[in-house]
Amino acid sequence: MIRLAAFAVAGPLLLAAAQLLPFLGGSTLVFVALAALASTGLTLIMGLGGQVSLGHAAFYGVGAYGLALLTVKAGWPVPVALGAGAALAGGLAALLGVAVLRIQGHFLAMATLAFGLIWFFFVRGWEPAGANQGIGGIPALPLDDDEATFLALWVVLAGGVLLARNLADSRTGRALRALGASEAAAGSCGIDVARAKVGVFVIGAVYAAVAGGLYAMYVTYIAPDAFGLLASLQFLVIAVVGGLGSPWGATVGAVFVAGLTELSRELLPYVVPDAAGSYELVAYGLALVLVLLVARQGLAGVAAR
Amino acid sequence: MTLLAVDVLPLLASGLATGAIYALVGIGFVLIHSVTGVINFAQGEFVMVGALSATTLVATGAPLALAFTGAVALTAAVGAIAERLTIAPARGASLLTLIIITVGVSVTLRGLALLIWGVDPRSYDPFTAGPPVDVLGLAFSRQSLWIIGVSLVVAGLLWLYLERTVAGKAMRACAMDPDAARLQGVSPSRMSLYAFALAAAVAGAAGVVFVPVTHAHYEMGLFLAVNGFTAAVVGGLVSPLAAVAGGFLLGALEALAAGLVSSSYESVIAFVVLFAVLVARPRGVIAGRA
Amino acid sequence: MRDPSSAAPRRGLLVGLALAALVAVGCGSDDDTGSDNDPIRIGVNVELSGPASVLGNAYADAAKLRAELLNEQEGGILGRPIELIVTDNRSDQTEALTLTEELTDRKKAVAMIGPGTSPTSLAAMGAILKSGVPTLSLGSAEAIVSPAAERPNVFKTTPDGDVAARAIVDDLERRGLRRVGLLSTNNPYGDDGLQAVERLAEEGAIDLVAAEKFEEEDSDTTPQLRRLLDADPDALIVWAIPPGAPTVRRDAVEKLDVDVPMYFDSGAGAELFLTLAGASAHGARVVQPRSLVWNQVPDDHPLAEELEEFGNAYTGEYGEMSGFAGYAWDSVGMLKAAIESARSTEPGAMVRALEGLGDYPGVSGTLEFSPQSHSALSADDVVILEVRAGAWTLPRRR
Repeated sequence: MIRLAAFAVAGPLLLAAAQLLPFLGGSTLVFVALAALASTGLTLIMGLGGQVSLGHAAFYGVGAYGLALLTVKAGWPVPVALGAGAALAGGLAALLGVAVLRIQGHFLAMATLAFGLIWFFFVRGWEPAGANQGIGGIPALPLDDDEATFLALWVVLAGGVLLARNLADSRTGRALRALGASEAAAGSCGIDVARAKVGVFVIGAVYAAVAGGLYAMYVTYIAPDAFGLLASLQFLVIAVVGGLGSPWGATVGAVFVAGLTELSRELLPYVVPDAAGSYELVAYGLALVLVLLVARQGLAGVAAR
Repeated sequence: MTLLAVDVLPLLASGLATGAIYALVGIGFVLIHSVTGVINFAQGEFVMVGALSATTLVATGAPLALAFTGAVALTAAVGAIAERLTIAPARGASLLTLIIITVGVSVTLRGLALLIWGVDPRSYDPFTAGPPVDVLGLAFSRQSLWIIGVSLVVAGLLWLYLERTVAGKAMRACAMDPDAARLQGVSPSRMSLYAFALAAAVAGAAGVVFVPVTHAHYEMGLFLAVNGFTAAVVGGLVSPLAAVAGGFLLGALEALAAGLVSSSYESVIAFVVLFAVLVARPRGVIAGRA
Repeated sequence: MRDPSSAAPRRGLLVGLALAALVAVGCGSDDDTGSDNDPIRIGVNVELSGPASVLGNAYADAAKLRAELLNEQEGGILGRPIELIVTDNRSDQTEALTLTEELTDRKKAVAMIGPGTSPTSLAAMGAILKSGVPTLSLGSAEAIVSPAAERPNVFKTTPDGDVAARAIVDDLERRGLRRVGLLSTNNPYGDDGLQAVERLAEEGAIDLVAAEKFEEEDSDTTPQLRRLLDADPDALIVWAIPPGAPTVRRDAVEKLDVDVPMYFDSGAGAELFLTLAGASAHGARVVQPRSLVWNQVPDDHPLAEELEEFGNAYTGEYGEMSGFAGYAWDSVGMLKAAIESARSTEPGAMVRALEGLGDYPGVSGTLEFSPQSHSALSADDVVILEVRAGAWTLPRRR
């Protein structure tokens, strides 16, 4: 319970920190919460299910486009559209999960990469979804203020993290975690390993889809570019840097990545005037390497000790 | 409707030309993976370093051979430094962590390239001037022939090295069983360094050869890496020659899709086929047959 | 996932920190109303890196130069120096949104120039509208400023995609060419052009016999070009920016020996097109504002003086002229005119001033905003140029 309280307080704390630090804007925090939510799904898929996924942005996109299309083109109410997007993503994940059950390691990475790219190229050429131009006029989130939006999203995120923790501590979850040691042993606990893995995939996808739908409502205009390979890599980095061993690892990762990006953008003009995005990239890349060298299990692993 | 054969052949030629590019990048992936087990996400950026440094050397008036050697040497050095600074200290980390570390390296290299060379693409003339050449009825641009030639030569040389020389076999031994290799007096750490340096050298050579066709710019790495990785996986991540075959296959598939079906969906079709292949044969096309 | 075991003191510390932070927040942030000699801050939110960098850099360069010259020669605006805050949105939609916030909210800019492309402009739209700060976008999509009622503070000094397409089609009609093949990039920019050309085809001016797309990174566009040529067009239209545009030109000329006229949209108006296409650029036709060929415009043209001043200054500072630079140059100029007219930097006043400026003599053409239209240029403001001897040339007629 104390953990939960700490997590809950961390939200307003971040908000306060943002007010003090002039370079952390309201929209940055909102994006942090959204990325954290989506990446927590990836933490489940990779940390719990043990499956590399380089196509996570596809589920994020299904949620976003699902919400956008159903509200803008079909006039559905927002909660229903959000749920439908999540269900669609879950269905896709089930199909994908079943298809890749036999595939391991780098080939699995390749298969999920291909899946993500297929989805991206498809949506980019699909006229009803606006093709390259995307969709605008998406109903906005009811809250006008970035700060309030962030706090509301933080509540959703806290719920997601709680759910993730409970999943990890459940019988199935513990069996899956034991899978690293012995697949046969896990199976002998009476757990249907295949079904559990697919199940985790589905849940992880739903996290991403919900985050995607909320994202669409925050920006009110979406285009395919935000859901490509780079987005999938971003989620991957956030999940791994944050720590795959912890339900709130992705949150830490999202805060870290955003903080790093904003900090380098703010400070670098003082070090080198007139710098384009080049210096930020260098700083970001170096920091990424450094963090993982220092904290092999990700940042959350460090904090939990 | 024109005859299918007349339609297909020029497309195949175009596909082989781009496929050779993917092949050369894929070779680097296979090399590092077969020795260290790591998928090097910075492989595309290694190509970029070779390409951009070659443009600078050529611009200063250096003869092509010098520019080629210089670029390859520089890229190999970059690869070695990257390995020592980022992979070596991470020994023992999970494979996933290592992959993300290479993502960090790729971002850093991209930023440095932007710093040094700016945003504009750079290029130089093809190695040999002249109109496209006719090979068995297919028209190839001269530079494409260079690229195909280099990819085959590099793949062949690497295969010889890995299969037939003691040093090469030592490298492969490390991937299969680092402890046993160590017992034989082979240092996995040193092999990792050599693998990265070698893969970077190959990437550098690739970059130099690509420039007249793809132009050199700081963002060229990602696209090449995705396709190169695909080529390597289609080949089963087994051997450089398999990666080359994978590259040609991928290039041909994309060109056929663009030419025969629809150019909007050329990339989709290639990856759909890849996905189907992976599901049906989880260990890749070429290796899967073994 | 370990068991929690924190003690009460740690919790207390957390709560204490939170309270302290809230107090700090409560003290509020600086309120900058500024005094009469404070600089006028204008934000520039453009793509200095990423796929659209060829545009973004030209925009930033032109804006910086204009601001500098205005400060030197006229002491800025109403005696207050112009302070440009140039930022790089990396051609990324999320970044464009975040930067809009930073510029208009934290940096207290009174106006914003940019973002430089349609996707970045549309993605940042929420933040732009919320800030209410007058924004001169440099993207091309009509949707950026339309419907005007929903975009009260958004303007653009660039021509709509339609304008370039119409200029090309007019030229085709003049030469009696009807059958057209279109090759566009598979991204929002290319789709903009595709839709514009499709609309004109529907109107009956041309027959769009074939349309293909290619990826910006494609090194070989011959499959697509072959398909287009199979349809037997009288002319080809290519909608792309460098390096895609020059790649297509080279492939067409060197590999396929294309003999039908090829028209490029204004995306090809950068020096980079000429450098990368080399000799194959000869004979290519490009839609551009007159600013690109500023030194070929006849002396009796109404905008000759502005073009002369702009051309000399820009090439003096940066060497080569860019077809994009003029729009940003004009943006700075129009903001100055609006602030002087309103004698205020208050957003509402500036917006009304911009709408009421009437005919503004810019280097891209005669720019005019109105309450109904926040898009300043029309088809008269662009010309068809042809590449000869490694340079763009203006046909004598116009």
